Amino acid sequence: MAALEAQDLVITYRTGWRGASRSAVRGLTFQVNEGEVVGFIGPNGAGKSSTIKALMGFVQPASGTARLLGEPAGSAGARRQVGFLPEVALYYPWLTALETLYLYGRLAGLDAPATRRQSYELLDRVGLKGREKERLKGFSKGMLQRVGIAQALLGNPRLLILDEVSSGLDPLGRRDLRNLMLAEKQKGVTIFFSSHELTEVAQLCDRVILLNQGRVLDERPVAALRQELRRYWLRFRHTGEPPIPATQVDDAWEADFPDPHSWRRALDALQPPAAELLDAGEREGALEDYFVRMVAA
Amino acid sequence: MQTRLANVGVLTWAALVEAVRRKDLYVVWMLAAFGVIGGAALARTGVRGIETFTRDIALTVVNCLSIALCIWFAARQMPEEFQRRTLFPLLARPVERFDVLLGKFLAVWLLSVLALAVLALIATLNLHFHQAAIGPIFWQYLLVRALSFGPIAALTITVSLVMSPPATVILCGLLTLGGTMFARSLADAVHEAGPVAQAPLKALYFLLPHLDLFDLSQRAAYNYPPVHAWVLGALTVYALIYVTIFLGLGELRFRRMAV
Repeated sequence: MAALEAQDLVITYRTGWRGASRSAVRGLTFQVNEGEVVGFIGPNGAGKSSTIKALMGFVQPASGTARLLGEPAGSAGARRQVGFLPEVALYYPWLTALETLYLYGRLAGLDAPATRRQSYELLDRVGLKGREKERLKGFSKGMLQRVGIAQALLGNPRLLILDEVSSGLDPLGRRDLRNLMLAEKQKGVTIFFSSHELTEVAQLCDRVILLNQGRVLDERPVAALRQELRRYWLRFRHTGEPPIPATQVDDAWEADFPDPHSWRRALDALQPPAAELLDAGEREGALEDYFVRMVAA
Repeated sequence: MQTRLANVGVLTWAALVEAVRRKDLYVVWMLAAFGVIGGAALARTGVRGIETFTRDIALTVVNCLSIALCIWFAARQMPEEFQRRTLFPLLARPVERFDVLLGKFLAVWLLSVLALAVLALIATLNLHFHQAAIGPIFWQYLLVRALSFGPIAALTITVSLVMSPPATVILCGLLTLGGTMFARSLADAVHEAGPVAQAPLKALYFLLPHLDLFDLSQRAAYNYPPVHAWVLGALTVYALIYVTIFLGLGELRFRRMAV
């Protein structure tokens, strides 16, 4: 069963009194399978947050349908099984971290002792042990994000929907978050998250969905993407024009190739004494290159 | 049903804890201190025979301040949820939107009753300084005033879903003032109006909450005998009807709102 599916989702916002509207999402269709970790990426204004809001039932789509774990998006049945982290929430500044989690835990349907036990456990997991009884008004942005992550995990949800998950976290916080998400993944929890941190997306996800201007621009497994982005390169000196396409850098030439076969052919073409091979190898491509290439196209 | 009640309970608890810790009630404590000091000073002037005047002033102050605080508490509840984006994690839970409104409403009502209790304590102390008698009508006055917070809080929370907090405070302040001071005059206007204006005025008379019914301050100032129990019962029902109407309208708006 699909953990999450959107079918021809259209989301419009009214921008004026006279009914003028703007489409944020235009016929979005995608699916996330159970146990998968999927990154939802795209430039600002692509429609990521609007899609997530529609999945959570915060906005009604103009048309199309969305289902979470077989239940209609926004229904109580769906919300009972989902943990959600909103983009930049400030939470209640006058409540303590423990009280905040108590509030959300009780609303999630947990009884008081279970809420308390899970709250302590989760605050420990997100690195807030010893600060449970401090009021949130004294917390930094990163600490609030940790509280947010803890509240999303309350009640052991089967599906996690996280909007801009690493927002405000320092490198240590990001590492903790990564470990936490990997641990949830190990437990079989489905994770769907949006992020601008592409390195994180590449490290955590099984698949990415790239959104632009309210439409799915591309969708593919991260392993395949890595393979596609892998580059094979060589650096050489050559007397006169080289027989392969290359760029001159200082007194040498550099060339790179998308696959090992063309790389090998280029190596064969570079014969002494005209050519002198200085270095050769392969490197991982950055998701950022893919992102820029796709969005700019 | 039990789950929904538990949800409302925990939402009320959170809103109350927030308001108390945010020191919203500090303004009441400060007013209380001024009131007690001022009353005691006035009592020391040695002027006699001003019990009724003192009662009148004390109850007018209690009326104005308690209503203003109720509107102030109510006007910020929902806008703050939107502004701080705390509504998202709330609505991400299996919670009905109406339960969020109800939880906020109950918190505002309880907070207003708490403020009223403090203000009543000041009034009682001042009346004590002036050796003015406090009859059962005074306690009935407080009970009925507490009931009036229901429609006022529900109206304000609903209006706050469509307006900014300052606009909500002004509009609900004016509506409450109108409902308290001019609702009765509307009946006279119906009699005086021509046939065309009569129907809408009559509709307005029956639609608007008659908050003047919840004001026993004049009776308490003159230390009248207590009103009958059925009057209190009827006022409770009347208040509940308006709370239901206003929260129902709020729910209609909130349910359709994109957050």
